[in-house]
Amino acid sequence: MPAAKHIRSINDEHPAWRIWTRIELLILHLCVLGISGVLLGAFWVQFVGGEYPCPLCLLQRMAMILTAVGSIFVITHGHYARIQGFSVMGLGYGMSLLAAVVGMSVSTRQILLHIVPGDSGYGNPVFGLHLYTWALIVFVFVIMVSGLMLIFGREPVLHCPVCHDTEPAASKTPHGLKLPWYSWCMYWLFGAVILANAVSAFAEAGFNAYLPDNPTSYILFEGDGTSASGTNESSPK
Amino acid sequence: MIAAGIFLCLFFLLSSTLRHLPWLSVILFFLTLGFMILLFMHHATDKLDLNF
Repeated sequence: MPAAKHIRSINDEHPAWRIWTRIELLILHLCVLGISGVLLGAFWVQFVGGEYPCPLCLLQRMAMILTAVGSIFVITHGHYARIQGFSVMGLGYGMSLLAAVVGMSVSTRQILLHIVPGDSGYGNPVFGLHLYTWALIVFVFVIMVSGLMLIFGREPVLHCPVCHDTEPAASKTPHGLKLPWYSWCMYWLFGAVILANAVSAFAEAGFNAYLPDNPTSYILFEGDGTSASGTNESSPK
Repeated sequence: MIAAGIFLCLFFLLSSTLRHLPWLSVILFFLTLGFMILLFMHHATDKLDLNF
């Protein structure tokens, strides 16, 4: 007699756990949408406020994107119970935590660069704090959420209506990932934000390898696209 | 251009999460993180003349 397959279904569970599983999925989406919102806010300051992002600002944007990629990894690989014995949640939230620690280091450095009394900081404050201070708050928040989700998170495989608690179940999605429409909207919005950042960074640096410490224009649109702009003096960024 | 390149790496990383190749995403993640740390080290050691 063949051994019965252990099949876990969200429908077999207590309603409270079912709700918690949905809340987890909601939190994952909110993390990505929140980071997208923060990055769009930075674009607002850049283009409407007329401020040029410095190299450290761009590094903080990159770190924020990496933290959100961890959440997206959990969403898109939720149909796996485990990957060669590794937990999908461990991989996803681990990525978010590592990226947040790197981002926190960058924003802390920028705060310390301007901590001397009398230094007005880089750029204009938004709601009373500079963008790099807000970035530090965002990274601390990401670390807290990731830690809590690692403690209280349930297997993302339970996000599927019916999933087998086995190794990678590629057979369940033979024609690509079956994500709900809201996940796709979030995914492409986030992708567009990343591409917009790539274009913006290229416009700011032109054909130079590095950005100036204190950029004052979009070098790509000046002369041959390599002319020096901004200064490398004073406390950078 | 390096910063724009890292953003493109991030976009490829995002695209890789749609494929049934989870380890590709993990490798790309560490690759991108490594590039970011190198860029950070470059800017952080600017004034020390380490030519990093």
